[in-house]
Amino acid sequence: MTATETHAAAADEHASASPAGSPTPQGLAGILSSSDHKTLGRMWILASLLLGGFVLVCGLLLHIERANLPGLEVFAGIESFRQFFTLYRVGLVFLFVMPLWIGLATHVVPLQIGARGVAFPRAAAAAFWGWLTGAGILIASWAIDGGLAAGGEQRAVELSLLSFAMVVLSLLGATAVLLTTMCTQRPAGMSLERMPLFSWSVFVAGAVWLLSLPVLVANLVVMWIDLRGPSAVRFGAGQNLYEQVSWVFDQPQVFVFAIPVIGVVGEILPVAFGTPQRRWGVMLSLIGLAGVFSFGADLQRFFSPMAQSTPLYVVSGVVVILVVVALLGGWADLGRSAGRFPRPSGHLAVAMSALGVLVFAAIVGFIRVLGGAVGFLRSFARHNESWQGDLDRALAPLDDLRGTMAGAGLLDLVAMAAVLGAVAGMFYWSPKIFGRRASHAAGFGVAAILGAAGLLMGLMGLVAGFLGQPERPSANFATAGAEVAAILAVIGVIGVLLALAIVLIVALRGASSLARGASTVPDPWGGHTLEWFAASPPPLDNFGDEPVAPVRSAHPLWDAPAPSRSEGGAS
Amino acid sequence: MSEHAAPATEMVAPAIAPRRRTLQVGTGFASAAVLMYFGGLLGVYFSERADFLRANPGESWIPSGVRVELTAPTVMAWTLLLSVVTMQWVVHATKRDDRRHTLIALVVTAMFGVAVINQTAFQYRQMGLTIDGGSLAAPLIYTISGSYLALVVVALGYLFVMATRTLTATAPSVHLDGISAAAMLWHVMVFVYLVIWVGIFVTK
Repeated sequence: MTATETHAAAADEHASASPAGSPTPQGLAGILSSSDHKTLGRMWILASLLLGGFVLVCGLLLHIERANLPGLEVFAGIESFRQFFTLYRVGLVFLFVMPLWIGLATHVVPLQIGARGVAFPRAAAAAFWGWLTGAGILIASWAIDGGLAAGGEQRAVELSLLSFAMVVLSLLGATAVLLTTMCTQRPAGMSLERMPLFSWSVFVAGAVWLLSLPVLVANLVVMWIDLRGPSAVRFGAGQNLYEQVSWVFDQPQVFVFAIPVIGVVGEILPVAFGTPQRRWGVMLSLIGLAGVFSFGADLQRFFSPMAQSTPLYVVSGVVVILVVVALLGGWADLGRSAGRFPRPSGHLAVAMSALGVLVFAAIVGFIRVLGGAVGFLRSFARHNESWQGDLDRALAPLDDLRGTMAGAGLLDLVAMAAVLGAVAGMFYWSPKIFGRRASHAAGFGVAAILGAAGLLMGLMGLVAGFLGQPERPSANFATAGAEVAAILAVIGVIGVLLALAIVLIVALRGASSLARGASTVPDPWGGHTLEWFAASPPPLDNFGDEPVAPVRSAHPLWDAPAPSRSEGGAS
Repeated sequence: MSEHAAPATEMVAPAIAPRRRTLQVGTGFASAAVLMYFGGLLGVYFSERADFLRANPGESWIPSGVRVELTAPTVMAWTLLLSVVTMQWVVHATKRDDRRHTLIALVVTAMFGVAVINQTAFQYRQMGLTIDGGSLAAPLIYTISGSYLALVVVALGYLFVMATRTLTATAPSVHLDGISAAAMLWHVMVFVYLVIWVGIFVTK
């Protein structure tokens, strides 16, 4: 059987394996050899949380070094510090945030759209194991003096590039499987615009990932080929390595990793209010707009050295904040139409915390593009010296944000918003993912602590940016004074420590829930989308052999007449 | 939660039968990624070439002593254009359950693919381009042409897998989805080469 087999063939194989005398593997062997999307989703989630813990430890060390505390030298020199800086950024996005979303989506999306599985189950399994192997090699390559900063050992740097490409390709493979599943496995009546908001947000984000990240792979391959020569010409030159891929970790591309947050919030709020989302088409369009303006592969510095002064860069930052404001309006309208407050719950608290951090990130992004607008105006007003002088004086603080720690703060904010959003999804879909309903108290705790951690990390970056601290590691961080730099770094340390503690606790709680086994009803929240029709946790083929009925709206379970719903769902 | 608390049963049941053309849709997404990958490579190539020519007016982007002739790339372009026709012949024959013509068209298409690999090897030897640390063009040309070579191998492998499934089936048209998907990737591969041909070899 090849990776192109569809889920129906895989399900048939599962069904026929046991009677034929070759039993389906159980226990650990069953988990490791599984191509069931739910098992794969759980493995993605747990592995990314554990690797996320490692990445946050790297971030912790960076902040401790930035604090420049007497007698506490974490890194041997600036080169070592730069390597950890690049590892933290690569890891934050590709070992933590993106795989966390893919894990949640791999588990939930097929259930939401009423599919029995993913389109290519073997390819989905190959993507997970490829990612995990690539992640292991990536970390090992950094440990043997590789990385994307200057001063690395050449062979190790080559290994870093190859393993980074392997990680990205695996994530792209998993994304392609999800997109194909959403296009081909939907039931009759579920058009694209009737897909649940989370599935739609994954569809939009996945499409942008699929169109932008191959450009990152192209960057990596060019660097690798260049490094293979007797001496690197330009692309593989030490100081250019990270520069060439930095567009992934900057505006507007960075926002694409937080788009599913909108989907999670959009799933949880209508259920909490107990009423369908109004202006459904507008909400879908806003998510699509956010996706379109998050595409940043064309704004890399190798294409355009002044990428952060282009009108497109400025427009993208403005559009993101407008989209966020419009979405807030849509959800406020939902509350108004419900005529009451939402029922408080742990997942709602975490979702609101994610939304708060995302709003802050959009504000920081908007402030940063104002600096880009200043640069654009400056180049426009070059012929008028007096006007340029006035412009310099009036807008210097915003202009100076370019290349400062405000960029690092934005990345941290977006990453924390994404992690909070994914954790909110894990709490909301905990009956499906872990077979147990997550406790509300734990949700309130996670919302408060992880939200505070994200805000602290982002605030530290923004203030440090206004004080002129450079984003890239340099020999002198303390341009605004050693005391201020130390205070900001300590704030960063506290933020990362809080985030690290919560991420590890969530991973351990998730694993222990799985170990304890299922104990919940199919639909504890009164959900409106198809995943709540399945048992908790769902069986191998998700829904059994129930007859197919057309989906008539985006809220299929709420469309069902009351008598039939009162009999209870599958169990 | 009020009136919506209880889950549904009969009214809304999930789908069992998946929609058709799964392989074509999946290959469509993979093809989009392939196009963006080569778009990224060619974007770097064109911007670097433009920067070089702006900084060094009158100089050649291709290093001196390197022969980038148009003959071999043009022959490759024609070979690939012919393979588009034979690839559609495969799809047409499969649709009609014509096993004999499917096999003939598959073999001819695969031979065109192998010929492109052979021509690329010949072109590498003829060019004499080395990544010696002096030219920006060398790593870029090898990255783009090497990546293209890898794409040809992948497309051939995909075609081989789908051909095996199609020809061993009771009725070839059962696997029309797979053959059509392989044809889609093949056509994308040909399109990419035409862009490379114009962008690198014709305009130099």
